[in-house]
Order: sequence, then C-alpha cells, then structure tokens
Amino acid sequence: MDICHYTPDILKPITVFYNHLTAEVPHCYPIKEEEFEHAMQSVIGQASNDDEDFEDETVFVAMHNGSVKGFVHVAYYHENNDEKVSTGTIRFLGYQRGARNIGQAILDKAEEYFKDNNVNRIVALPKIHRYTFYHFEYAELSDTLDHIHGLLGINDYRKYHGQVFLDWKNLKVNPPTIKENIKLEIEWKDGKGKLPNCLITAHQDGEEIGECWNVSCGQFSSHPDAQDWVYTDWIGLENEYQGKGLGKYLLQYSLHEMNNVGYKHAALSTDWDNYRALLFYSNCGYRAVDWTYAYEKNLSSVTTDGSVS
Amino acid sequence: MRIIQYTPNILSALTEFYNEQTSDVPHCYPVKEEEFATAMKKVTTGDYHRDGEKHRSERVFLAMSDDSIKAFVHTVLSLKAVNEEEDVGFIRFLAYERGERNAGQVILEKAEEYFKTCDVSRIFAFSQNDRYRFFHFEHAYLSDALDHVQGLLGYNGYHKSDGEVFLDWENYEVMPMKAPFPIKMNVEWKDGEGHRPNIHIDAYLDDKKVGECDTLSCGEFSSHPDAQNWLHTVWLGIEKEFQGQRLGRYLLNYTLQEMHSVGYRHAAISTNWENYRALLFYSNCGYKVVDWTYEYEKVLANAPA
Repeated sequence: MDICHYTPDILKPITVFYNHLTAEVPHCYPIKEEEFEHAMQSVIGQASNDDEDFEDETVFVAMHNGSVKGFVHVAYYHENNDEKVSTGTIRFLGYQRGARNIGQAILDKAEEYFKDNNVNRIVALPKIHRYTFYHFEYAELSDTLDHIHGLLGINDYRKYHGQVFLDWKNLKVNPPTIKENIKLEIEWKDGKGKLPNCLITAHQDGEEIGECWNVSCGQFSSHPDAQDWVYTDWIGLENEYQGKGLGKYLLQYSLHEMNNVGYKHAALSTDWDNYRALLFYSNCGYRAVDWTYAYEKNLSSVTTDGSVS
Repeated sequence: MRIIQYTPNILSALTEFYNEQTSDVPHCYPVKEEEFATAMKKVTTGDYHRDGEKHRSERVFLAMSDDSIKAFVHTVLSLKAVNEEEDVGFIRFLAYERGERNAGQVILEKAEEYFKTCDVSRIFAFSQNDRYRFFHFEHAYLSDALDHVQGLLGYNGYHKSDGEVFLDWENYEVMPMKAPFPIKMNVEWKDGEGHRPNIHIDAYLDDKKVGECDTLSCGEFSSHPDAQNWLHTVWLGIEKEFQGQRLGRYLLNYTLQEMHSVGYRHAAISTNWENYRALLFYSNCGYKVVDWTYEYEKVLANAPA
C-alpha cells in the first residue's frame, strides 16, 4: 500500500472508489469522472472557485495494485483572517470497509499535514466544505458510513454538529387554501437541473415576511435519478410571523407548485437539535432517512502522551 | 379526542396499533396478542394514591378518536424505596400515528401530568432496561425510524441521555481463524424461547478465564418466524490485559461459526453510542449499522440539585 498525492492520472480509479463507497448513502448518485474532476480542481492548483479561501488544499490517496483503497481531502484556513489561528478541514475521508488499517494510515497522514501547518483545530466533514455532489446541501458524515464514524471516534474526534435529512417520496400535496392577506410571488430560476429552481416569497402589506427557496437536486448531481427530486434549501419567516401556520402554508404552496412542474419527490434537512422542525416535517409527510454529523478535534489540547485532555 | 386507561378488552386493537407503528423499525416483527399481553401484565388502572401505591406501578393511557387508537403511552412509576435518589418516572413506550401530532402531544401531557401528581422529578423515555421484550433487540432505546416520536420528545424538552447503535450482518459467512494464543473454549448451549438455542462461550487460557460471549436467538424477543434465523450477540467481553490482541475477534468468529452450524443465518450486535472502538471493530468485520436508538430524559422543576 502506497500513499500518494492526488494527480489527474488516478481520476478514474478514485471516481470508481468514491462511487462504490457512497453507493448506500442516501442521495449520493453515481457521479461521472468530470464531476469528481471538478472537485479536484482546487487541489491541483486550478482553483476555479473564488469563494474558497483555503491557504492550501491537498488529497492523500492510498493505492494498492492500481486501485484506490482510501483517500482523505484536507485543507486549512485562517479563522477571521488571523494568521495565528489555523483550522484544518477534512473535506472528505473514505476508506474501504474492512480495511481499517488503511483508514488509520490516511488519517495519520492528514493529521501530520495539519501539524506541519500549525493547525489548532480540525473539523471533519463540515457541511460548508462538502463536495457539491455528496448527498444534498448541508450534509455532513452520513450514518451509513459507520466505519468512518468509528475511525474518527477512536481518534478522538467528537460530533459538534448534526443535520437530519427527511424525504417525502411520491409527493402528494393538495393546493393550500389561499390566505387572502398574504401575497405569494413565484420566481423560477434555471439551474443545473432538468427542472428549474424556485424562490417563493410571501408579502403582507407590501413587506416581505418570508421566503422559501427550492432547488432541483440536479443542482448537486447530473444523474437522472436526481432530476425529479426537489430540495427545500431554506424556509424562513420574520420572527413575528412564526408559529401562525405560515411556514406550513409556504411549504405546502411550494411543494404544490413543484409537483405541478414535474418534481415527484421532496427532501429537506434541519439541525440536529431543531426538534420543532423535526416534529413539523415528520408529521406533514416527510420521514427521516439519514442523520449526518460533523466532527472536531482540538490539537492544542493534546498532551505529549497523545491523550486528549 | 378522549383519553382512556388500558383495560384488557382493548388488547386486540392496541396490538394492531403497535404493529402498525413499529412496522418500519428494524427488527420489530409483528407481535401476537398474547405477546403484547405479556407487556401489559403489570398495568393497573385508577388514580394515584401515594399510600396504597406499590414501589413500581404501571399505567397505560390511550388517546382515542371515535373508536380508534391514535396514540398511547406506557408509564412506569418508580418510587424512592427502589431508587434511593429520587422518584423517577419512565415512559416505557410512546407511540402516535404519524401526522397526528396533537394526539401525541395530548398523550405525552397526560403522562407528565400523572408523573407530576406522583411528585416525580425526572422522566426517562424508552430506557433500555424497561423496553418491551419484543421491541427491537436487546438494549434498544427509541429508534431513529420513529423520527416523529423523537421530534415530539425533543420539542417537549427531553434530551438524549444515552444511545445504542445496532449493526446487522445478513447472510453472514465466517471462515475459521487462527487463535491468537492457545485458547480453550467452553461452549454451553441453552434452550430459550427461540426455535434454536442460545449460546454462551467462555474462553480460557490455561485455567484463567480471559473472555466470554453471550449470544441469543432473536426468537428470544419475538415468536415471528423471521426472527428465528437471527442471532443477537448481547455481550462480548475480554479481560483487560488480553484486549487488543484479536481475542475478541476470535471469540466472536468462533461464536458465529457455532451458531451457523445449528442454522442461524443472520447476525446482529449493538454497542453504546460512545463506544467508537467497538463500532470501528464491528463495522470493519462484516456488520453494517442499521439503526441508532436513544434514551431521552427530562428533568422536572422539583428535581434535587
């Protein structure tokens, strides 16, 4: 087993590996090489995303007989532009189930990289650094990748955030009873998916009081199966309008519109401690299909014997 | 919506309701009325009278709409004589029809009101020690598959206080492996409730016991035919000084082989939510996570500091 840096000549085996690893993760559709290649652009110095402000980014790959057995995608950045505070991020970590030694070897490699770059804190699989084609927006490490949870856990990483995903398959929504005092505006926007994205805003007395942003899951993946899913990325109401059934109204209206335009299934997610939202969604048609978590480890508190204080 | 207390004449309807509510929970096989009746054995009715109350008493409240069940909660009161610290209330089980959150809220409030009249200061929901024998497998708390129940508890101020993760290995296959050192196995078969026997294995090095493994037929939890081919390893322990030397793996492997030879085909195991070492071990040797289950706790205002 060799550990090397990612280079474009292993694009094919690493895409094969990634697709195999994520085959059972909800909403991870098989990706094409060019999609994976896009995620690697900033790694090979062809940074295309202006909004990525990593100081450095690299991918370590464990190879055996020409096939990929595991890889870790690491980067680091300065918090609040303070050069003394470096946070490392594990954008993705995967290893073949059963090959825990390989998992350990690439994680060790990642930590060595972080130490070399004076990282104080490591975050693993945070939603803000996810690959666009991994799961849906805001996803962290899926419960279905239990062997990766196990690896992070025994290496003293701890869950610090979570996001629960809910699906509503074969969506059926009745048109909502129109609320006369609320004006709803629909704006369709073409995105990467076959069907358009949609922003719905709610107005009362000329003021915007809420909005609901729905994106095609084709935004995340080019796979045909993703195209008839809609993901409600954001639903929000001004404080004083909450708890009056308006959220439900806005969601029902959105889903009904989405249904009409051809979406068959809906998904959304919420924070792990937002039980109000979980209760609402799980009673209106959605069902939890996955819990995902981000992990953290503080390096500064590691003592010389390796234990974490 | 009207609330009634459980009496045996509603057994049939409640069994049916329970089966519907748990149909998507891993390892919840449909139960027969006589199985559900065993969980209701100690349930009594009537109001609470402190003097006359036993140390532990159980009541089941049901929310009815017309003549159909929309929700139920199984409460257990555990008074100080048993638990020295404080009076504790347990919600053994709570279910409500998905979409009927008002019924869920009403039944939860009924349970809390009952606990409050009993001066309970702390409530645990879905404690593994109090689980219905036929709910999931040994050590299970509230399953992730019942997200609407989790939502209800969380919304009402309950917090996750413990967890257990479940892993399955369907159609498992194991090859004999070499013992890490000369181990002698003492195998004990025991007949239980299942069609096939349970097994207890002790591992000895010379005359010293260095490990043990307890594995049950899942027929122990359910009479359903589908449960009979499943085994559940409920305990795997290695003496401290012998840990990390592949002895656990050897003992588990040995157990799975023995069980395969008498006809078991699927294996299940579970571990505590914080035991990442065990999770890493099981998830790399053939098992895959199928469910996370959680105990919930709520501390009431009158709890001792």
